[in-house]
Amino acid sequence: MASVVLSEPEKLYIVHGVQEDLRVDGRGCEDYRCAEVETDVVSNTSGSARVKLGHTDILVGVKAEMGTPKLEKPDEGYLEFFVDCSANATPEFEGRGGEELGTEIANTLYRVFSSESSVDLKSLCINPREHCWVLYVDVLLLECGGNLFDAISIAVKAALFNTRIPKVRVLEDEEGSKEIELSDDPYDCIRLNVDDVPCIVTLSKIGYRHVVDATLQEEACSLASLLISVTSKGALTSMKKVGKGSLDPESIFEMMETGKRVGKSLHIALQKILDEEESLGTSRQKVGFLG
Amino acid sequence: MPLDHRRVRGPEESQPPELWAAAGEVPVEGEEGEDKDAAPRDPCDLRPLFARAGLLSQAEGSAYVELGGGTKVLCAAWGPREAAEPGAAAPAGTGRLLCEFRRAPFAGRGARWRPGSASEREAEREAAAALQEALEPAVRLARYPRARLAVSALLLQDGGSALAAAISAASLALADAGVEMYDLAVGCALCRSPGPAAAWMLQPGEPEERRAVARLTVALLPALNQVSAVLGGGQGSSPDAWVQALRLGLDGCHRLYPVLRQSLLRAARRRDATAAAAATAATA
Amino acid sequence: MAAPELLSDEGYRADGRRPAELRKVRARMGVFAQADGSAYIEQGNTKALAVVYGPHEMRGSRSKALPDRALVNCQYSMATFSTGERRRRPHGDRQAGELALHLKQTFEAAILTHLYPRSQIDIYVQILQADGGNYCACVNAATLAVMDAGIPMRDYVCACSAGLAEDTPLADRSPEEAAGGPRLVLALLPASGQIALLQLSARLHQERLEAALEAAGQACRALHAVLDRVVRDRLREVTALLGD
Repeated sequence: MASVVLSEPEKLYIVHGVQEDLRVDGRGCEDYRCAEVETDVVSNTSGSARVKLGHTDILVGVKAEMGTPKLEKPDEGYLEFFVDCSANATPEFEGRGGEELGTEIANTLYRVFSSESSVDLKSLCINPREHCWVLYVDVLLLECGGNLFDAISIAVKAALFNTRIPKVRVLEDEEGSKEIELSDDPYDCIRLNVDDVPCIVTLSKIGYRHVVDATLQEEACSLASLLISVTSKGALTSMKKVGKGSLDPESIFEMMETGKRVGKSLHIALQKILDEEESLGTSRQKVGFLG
Repeated sequence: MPLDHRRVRGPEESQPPELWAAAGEVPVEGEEGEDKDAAPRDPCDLRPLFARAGLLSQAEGSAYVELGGGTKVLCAAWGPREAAEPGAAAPAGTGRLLCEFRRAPFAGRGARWRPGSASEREAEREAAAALQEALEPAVRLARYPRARLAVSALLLQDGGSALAAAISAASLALADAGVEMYDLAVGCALCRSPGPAAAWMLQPGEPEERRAVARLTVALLPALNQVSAVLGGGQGSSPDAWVQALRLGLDGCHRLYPVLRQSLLRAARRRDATAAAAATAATA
Repeated sequence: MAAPELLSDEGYRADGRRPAELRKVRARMGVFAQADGSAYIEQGNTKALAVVYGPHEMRGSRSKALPDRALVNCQYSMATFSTGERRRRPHGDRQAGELALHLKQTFEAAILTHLYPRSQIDIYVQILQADGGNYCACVNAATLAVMDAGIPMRDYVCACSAGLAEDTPLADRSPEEAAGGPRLVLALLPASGQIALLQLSARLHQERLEAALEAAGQACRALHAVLDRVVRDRLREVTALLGD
């Protein structure tokens, strides 16, 4: 991961600031940075979103392709995650350098979405045991300025919200052979219900307190963070400790409580932006990377 | 068209038989009668744990951990070596801990794992990363600047709670190798079965783990009361439920700790005895 | 011939352009704050990002350092969702390696590499959405990014593709026009008229080469005007910020 080198006094300054609930950029411990969310930025995907959280810049594209259902779940479609840590973010990711981090993030996403209720997979099934939609969620990391996991989960949720899957009909002829017919109308499509899609909240332990949405500098001061995924209803679907250090059990409990609170408000804010964008419809001025 | 006579021509479309078996009937649980003990199981029950340190002569430190459910993990550790590429990855002044996790090809039941497949390697790498994260806080890496320590865990049989057993075994092996540590990292796994009122269970067996809707692995440094690993996911539930699960898991770690300590002491005594015997033999 | 008509009787192409007309170009410099230089370009529906790091010390093995000039290091990748069919990996395939090499050759010709001996300049380009002319979009984006990084160049490098419909050359081919027919990619240093890269695929009659080359050159010069305006706008913006 892109890393910054901080001197001891710099670290001390950040740690003392956090102790006073005043961070280097003026935020409190439970405040997120200003986030920009835009959906439908890549037109040849089923759904896409770009999220800019401080200097962290994420582009997510969702592609729906037809596949065969998994053996264990013959009447469900499934999601596939892939994270590309492109060399854009830092030269260290050139070639295969970003693969390790990419698979780590992808594994985390699989765990976050392991809950059955997060996305209605049954609606992705076309024809039990034979055909289903496979949603390829491809994350492209363009710039990393701390708090990758949260930004990625926000972008994934926004992209899933934006995803439109064409409606198909299964036609069966007399001999029992099935034919799949794609709807001609491009507006005739299924939307996913993303109400239960969780967002990740990363809480970094700095000194005796924990902060959300740490910048790269703050991440350098933190020895251990707790990553939890929260749904809009406040339910936890996964948790993970990351980093070299260890955590006190009591502080883990506190962090979970904070995470739930922050996660809920994060969901509300995100949903509001998404609904606003949705209501503008085609009249919306697309900004993309030109803004 | 030239016909290939060596090839048996099968039907163009085929489906694996498992498909039909799974859909046809209600799955018969517990072919070996496992469902009987599954229902009345006390959620706080720990499986019997057997641990032995210092059993491999080639490795500097080694440990073997076996859980009642059939999980068997063998771990070996190698003390500080000069790092191959100085200054890479780890910040100057601290050592590096390299972890490896392997599943034996016969570890799983049935043909669930194709050895050497991409998904298996992926899973192994993920487990290795989790192992590293759990062990790093326990090892005094600052005492080994510019050096690397290596731990290798081999899962011989997966009977559930494999990662937790691997964490315990790896920290035992490191301690057995004489690596300076703050404490042993003790791992413990939990899972929750489907159903609204289902409680979290400690150290699930393999069938329980497969059925579970949520899983959690925790690692604790009991003497310092520090949590070194939390890794879990599954069906969403309120934070309070997860807190309860965590408490249960940490309590389990505390209860496992004496067993691991005992095995370490026994290994040290055994080593002393053999050293003394060798010394007397030399003088005689 | 059963091939679709590339030019209508009135002399328009399938997407309504005239033969020498480019697709709409929009670009922006300085997209990312952490990179030394970055740029984004849209040419029609093709969207590309370029990021430049450097010049900096050699990364990795120092033995690759060149004693008299800077090493230009390029990577070309395409987002997995950029194409109609999902790609399995963003880079590392043969085509990406080849295009990265072309990019390197193009920019070695344009950057004043002798000013930075024993150092390295990284150019990373990323196709976000592919709709024909990917390589050209990458070159144009990379030019802007290199300028954004403040690395001295001989000239802009502008790249454009050209094809032929019967005997009328078509500038900036769209993917529909790409099916069959000769294809010419030209990277030009417009001020001096020097060619940094010329690539020709499929068969083309010798007599028509001149016309196609001329069309591609024209298109490159037109692109140069657009890019130049982007750079000047950006410069004005930055100096205005500095002035306050």
